[in-house]
Amino acid sequence: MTGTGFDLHLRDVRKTYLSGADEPVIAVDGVSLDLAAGRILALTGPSGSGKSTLLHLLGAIDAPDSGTIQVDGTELAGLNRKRLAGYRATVGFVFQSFHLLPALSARDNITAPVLPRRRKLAFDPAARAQQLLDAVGLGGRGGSLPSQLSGGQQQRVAIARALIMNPGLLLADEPTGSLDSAIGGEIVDLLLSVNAEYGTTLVIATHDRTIAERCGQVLRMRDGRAAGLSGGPAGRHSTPAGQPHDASCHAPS
Amino acid sequence: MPTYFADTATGADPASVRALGGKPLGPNGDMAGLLSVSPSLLTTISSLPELENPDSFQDTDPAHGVNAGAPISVIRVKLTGTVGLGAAAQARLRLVAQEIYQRTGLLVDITQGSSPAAVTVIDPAGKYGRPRLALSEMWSRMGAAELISSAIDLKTRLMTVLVLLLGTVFVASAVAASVRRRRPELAVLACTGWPRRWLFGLIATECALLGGAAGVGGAVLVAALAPVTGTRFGVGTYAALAVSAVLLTCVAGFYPAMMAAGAHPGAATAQLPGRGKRRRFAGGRASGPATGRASGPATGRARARSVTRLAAVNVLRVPGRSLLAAFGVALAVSGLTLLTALTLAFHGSTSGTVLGQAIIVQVHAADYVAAGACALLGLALAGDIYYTASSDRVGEHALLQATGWTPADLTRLAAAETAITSVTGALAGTGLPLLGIRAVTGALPAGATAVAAGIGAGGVLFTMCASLGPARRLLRTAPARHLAEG
Repeated sequence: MTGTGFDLHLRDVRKTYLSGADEPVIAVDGVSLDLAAGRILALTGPSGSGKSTLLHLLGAIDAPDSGTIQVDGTELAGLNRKRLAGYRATVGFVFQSFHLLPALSARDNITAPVLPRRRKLAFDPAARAQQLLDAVGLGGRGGSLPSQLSGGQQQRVAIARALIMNPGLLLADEPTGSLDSAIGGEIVDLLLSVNAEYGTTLVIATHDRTIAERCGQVLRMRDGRAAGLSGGPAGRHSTPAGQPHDASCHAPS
Repeated sequence: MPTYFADTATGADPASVRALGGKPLGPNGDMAGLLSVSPSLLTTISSLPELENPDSFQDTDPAHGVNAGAPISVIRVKLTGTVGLGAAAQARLRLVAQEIYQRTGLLVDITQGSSPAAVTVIDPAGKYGRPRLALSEMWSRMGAAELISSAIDLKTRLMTVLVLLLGTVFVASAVAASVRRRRPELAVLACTGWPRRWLFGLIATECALLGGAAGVGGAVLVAALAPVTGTRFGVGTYAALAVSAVLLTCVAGFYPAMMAAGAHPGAATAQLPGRGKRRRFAGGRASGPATGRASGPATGRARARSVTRLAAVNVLRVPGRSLLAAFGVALAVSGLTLLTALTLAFHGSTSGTVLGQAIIVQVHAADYVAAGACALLGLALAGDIYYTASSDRVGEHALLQATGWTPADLTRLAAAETAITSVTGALAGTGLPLLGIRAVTGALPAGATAVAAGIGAGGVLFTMCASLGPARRLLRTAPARHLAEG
């Protein structure tokens, strides 16, 4: 693990989609946000409020129409496709529906992100995958296909996959949305433990108020806008003196 | 002109060869008396005036053993150039024979496509000590060329069947892909109480309508092209064409319709293929905390340790589809390889060695058109399968992109997958025709292997382009679009 998370700075970020009837849908509307490295932020709000889109923009799997996103000092808009891919490799993404490759074993799913660059890695992907499987409590299930795993186990594999490249930023989009509350709680424990142990900046989009409260700081989204930030900072790093909050959001311009 | 050479009767078994001292049997000793006599004179038609001049001949009286009433027993006429075996060639032969008869009154026996064929003749032991002999004689097999031509012309029919087969497989593949994509929709219908036969009927009806439209379109196209090609068809032919299209489409749609009939209502709430297709319907919820215990890990499964190995895993995970793609490439290159090798082996219409000698194999332009159609259909089939596979797995590709794979990495993956199946198909499609030609003629014609390699490489290249184009187009879409949750 890098041991250092990424800090995030968003300024007036907008994203619009065209609906089926070619009607523009404003998914993210002028969101500005600062989050210090190693912090945890929960994004809450009703369906369609822009939580997932904001995560996609942070993970560079979608591009904003306007505004700037700076992660760990890097302006995403200025990256070419190759460097963008390099950035994505430093970000872990956990999805609600896991998105495991069905033909690959749990172990191979974890190493899939590093296959093209496996010769340039400083670590052995297979050994690292086993280490991560052990860490998420699936040490003996490395050879199992996703279809042979329960939902909770699949999400654990997805989390392990997100950690294979020692990410500085971990994004989780409704990570417990497909799980029951008990298993969901374990998954949140796992995500929080990653932050606590390695200082990875963690952003979780969730409907679940309980999960949001455990994250400390909560950014409420409504109609694509940041409707308000609440809660105190949480995460591995303590709040620096004189700074009441490590996260802040600004009214849209 | 092989029949102008002196034929011989040689021993057909070791005992006869020993009895003959390793030499041919003298013609006078042939009991069957069927060996042809070599011509006494070979000339061209320009020397006819000389032949009609009695002063040109000496010692033609009976005292010298010549039948003065019929001094010439047989006149063999060989037409110049390559006669061929088509209808036009046969009409030309008939005209020449008729003209000879009308001018000379001679009986004309048309010998078209005769070929010496080895026949074993048993010569019984003679009264004066000659042993029983088994003789191998080259008898003239009449119509051998027509026989061969008929057999070879099977290739024309074969090409037609191949075109129909490929078209059917193409439609079947497309309908199956459509059914896979519409699985949730079909499952919703199943949820609302549609019985299996209705679901089957829905797809079958769609296929019939599609086939009807294609049949009418084809008939219109044929009607438009008929004046250009100088052909004329009746209304019945056009009706048969339309009906055939409907039947073929229905045959193609049978299996996909069966797939549709088996739609599970649970699929209505499951994800699209490629995004958890194999997930059990009840498996979306965890049944308890993960214990970390192994419960039957698949230890013998192929590991995806590299992009190429991952490509191999992806090819093997859909064996039917991969085989179909390879089949398409194989059919695409096999027709062209076969025709090219035939052309090289027989030089269009020269002698070969099938059933003796002097057989004529013609590769018609229509054969090349059919082979070209086969090639296009086969490559289109393979390309369509690759495109469908890319579309089905667009979510997986988006996931890999989200984890840091570059477009070049994903292109490499798609290229490796395509290469595995297309090279397999190209090897089969070029190798089998060459083996067939070699089995018939005893040797591969010069250049055939190189030409086949070129055709195979062209097929692979075309398929790679056909598959990588759609793959790269899909890559231009933001990964988020394919990873969006509901």
